[in-house]
Amino acid sequence: MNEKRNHLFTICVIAFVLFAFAWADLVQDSGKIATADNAKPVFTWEAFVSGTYASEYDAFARETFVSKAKWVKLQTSMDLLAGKEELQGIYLGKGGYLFEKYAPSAKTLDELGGKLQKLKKLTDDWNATVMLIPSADNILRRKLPDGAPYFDETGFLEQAAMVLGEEHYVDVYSVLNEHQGEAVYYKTDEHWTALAAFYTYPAWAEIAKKPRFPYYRKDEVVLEGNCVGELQRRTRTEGSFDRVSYFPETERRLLSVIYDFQTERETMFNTQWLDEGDPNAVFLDDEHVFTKIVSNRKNGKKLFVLKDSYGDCFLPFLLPHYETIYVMELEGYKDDPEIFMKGFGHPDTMDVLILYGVRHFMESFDYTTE
Amino acid sequence: MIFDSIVFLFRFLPAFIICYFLAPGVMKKIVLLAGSLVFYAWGEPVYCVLLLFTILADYLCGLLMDRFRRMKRVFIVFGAAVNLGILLAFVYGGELMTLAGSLTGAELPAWQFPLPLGLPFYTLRTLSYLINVYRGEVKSCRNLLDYGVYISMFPYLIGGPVTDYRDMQEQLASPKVTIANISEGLKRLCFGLGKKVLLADRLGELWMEISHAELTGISTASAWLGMIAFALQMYFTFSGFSDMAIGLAKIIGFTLPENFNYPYISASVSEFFSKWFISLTDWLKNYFYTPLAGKKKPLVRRVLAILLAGAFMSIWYGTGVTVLVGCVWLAFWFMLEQVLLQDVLQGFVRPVGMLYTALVMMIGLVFVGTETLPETLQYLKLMAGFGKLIDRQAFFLCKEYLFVLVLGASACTPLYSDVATKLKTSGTGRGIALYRLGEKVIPPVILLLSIAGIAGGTYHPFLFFGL
Repeated sequence: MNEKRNHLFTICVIAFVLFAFAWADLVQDSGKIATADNAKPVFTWEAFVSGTYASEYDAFARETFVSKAKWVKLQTSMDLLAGKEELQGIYLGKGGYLFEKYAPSAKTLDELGGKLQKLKKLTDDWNATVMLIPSADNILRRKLPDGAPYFDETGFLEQAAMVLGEEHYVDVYSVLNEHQGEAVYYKTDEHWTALAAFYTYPAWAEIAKKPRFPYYRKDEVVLEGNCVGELQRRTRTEGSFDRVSYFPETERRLLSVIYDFQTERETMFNTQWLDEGDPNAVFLDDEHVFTKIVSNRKNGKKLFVLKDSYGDCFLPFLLPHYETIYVMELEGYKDDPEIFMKGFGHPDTMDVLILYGVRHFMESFDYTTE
Repeated sequence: MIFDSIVFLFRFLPAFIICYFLAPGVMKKIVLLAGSLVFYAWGEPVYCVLLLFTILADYLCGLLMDRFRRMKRVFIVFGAAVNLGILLAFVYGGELMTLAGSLTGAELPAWQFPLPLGLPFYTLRTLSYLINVYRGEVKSCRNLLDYGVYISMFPYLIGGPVTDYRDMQEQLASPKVTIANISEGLKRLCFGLGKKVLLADRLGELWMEISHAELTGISTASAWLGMIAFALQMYFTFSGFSDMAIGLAKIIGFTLPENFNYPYISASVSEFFSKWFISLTDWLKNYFYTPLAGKKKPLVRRVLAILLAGAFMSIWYGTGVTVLVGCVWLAFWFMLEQVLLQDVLQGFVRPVGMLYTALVMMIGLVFVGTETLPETLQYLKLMAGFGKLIDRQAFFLCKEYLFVLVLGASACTPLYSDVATKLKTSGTGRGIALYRLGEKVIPPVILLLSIAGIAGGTYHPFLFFGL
């Protein structure tokens, strides 16, 4: 009798879990929670016969399963309880710092030499200055989980310095390494901060042979609002957040910013990105293929910047030196960049700065001329 | 459809259970057949036709063998040729086309047909049925519905266990649906799901981390860690699916053979195969090795039969040359033990035998886990110590997956079942109460954690044939 009661108990409990969630999942309006990424697949016989409907529906059912967020939380809690210090390819570092795990493929490493040669040609042709920003894990090594492997970028940076020559190469690594105890990178986002850009600015001025503008650390202003960056969201945990700071002095000389020849603004800052969880996008409004910055400095000097997102928080520091700064993201440009650049000036009339995050440079830098 | 999916657990299974238990008498079997075809057609709709063709062809072959006993040899050859032909075409079609192209010099089109889900498993069932009928061990199945259910029953359709028609004949006539069976079946389903989602998938992540890294960059410690993870992943994937199959079958009134019995604590390769994928080993022994080795079993034929059985067995672990070589490697040691080493091994204490078996197994698994022979050799070199001994990756991954590795390694032994048995038979009120509590709480907790793994996790690997 006791045995039978035990069996009935087991059946009731397990069947309840299966049937209750099945019912709840069916009656919930999946359409409400479906997003563009996991839209409900449309049934067609062709899709069904090919098997794509089933696989898409499987993914849809998983992504929109009832109480999805709670299941994710339970799964993450299990991982954390099991002692995991890496979630979804993100290291959970010390002090709330998050680092994206990265190991370049053999192909990426093989292609590095060629990329450096392209960079050298660009540097020589334009007498350009080059800034390669090391990844956070290379500077904040002590904040990585104990023993966590990371790709050491120093070898590449040394090679870059040698190939480009010290008259072109700004040693960002050494500068940031000296300040590794400070907030030179965001905790929840991969990018460096305005503070890191502030520390690096003198090194640029020295290589670019410009008189150093007197910025002061005490002038740093922290913006209102906590920003939860992409890395934090990818771990699907809560905890860390960032505060974004800037140096108001950098804003004083600005006349206008024109994005993609269309939108004109009177400021380089857009704080709505704080709510979007992208602290770096606060500077220069996230990604634009081409940006023109005009300052009130009527010296006729021009700077052309080829950059990735790491350039955003650094460029405001350069306003005291130039009347016009042209900014281009190579990744979004399909034609010959050299011809485009020559439309704005020539090597003897225009300075050029190339500014990339090391990882982005390794993976996506391309400067192909016809 | 696979068991560890939302569609199976929360769409198909509840709907099927309601229909099955509401259906009266013979309708239950119709529901079971229809459900199995829906289960198979989800994701493999085209190959459903192949499954139906196989069912019909073998059903007719069986009837004809019974009806025309003098011509039974013709029918068995025809039936076996059809079944094996289909299986070998899908498994080695690519390789055969390449070979034919290089021999004839013709430019043949590439083989573009993936292996149908479950084909290797239901082929074994059809073959054993035909052989049983041929040998006169069973009467041919007159009822097409029964035969269709036997071949396509969804609990074991895609991943086994491999069932023998002799064992299923009676059960097909009258499935035993009882409260105890349903309860035991549901518990087994939970444990199987937990093995797959909570252990195999997590260990698979570790194996992926290492196997997807550039091989030249990994250390000896990482290589061993990866192979241990892969070995555990394989075990928990296969035994998890077997547990789920056994559990699901039990819910609907069928008892399937056990398939795994703690193989990783075996002290010889022979013992390993008596505990690993038992139903497959039994099938190979009854329908492949014994007929090939002959009645008197001369040494040469025995050796050849074992090595060929190893090669044939590779079909159930994947396609490609490396898997074939890996299985032949294991069969080679099995054969060596049969003819030479058995007495030698008995002279050693059990841990020595276990160490030897683990080493042979690990080397075999390197072949199964890698895709090309040069990659296999590179990995073996790393395991042998040609390279860095240890690196940050090995240390970090070991730390990162310590919990799941310890849990997995201990779950490979009878530790937990021994503890449960001790509590159950302790005779003390406290021990029995603890056992009862565990029996009630653990399965639903595993089920909930597994659902979290499926709905909340991001890594859903397939090991072999969509499992």
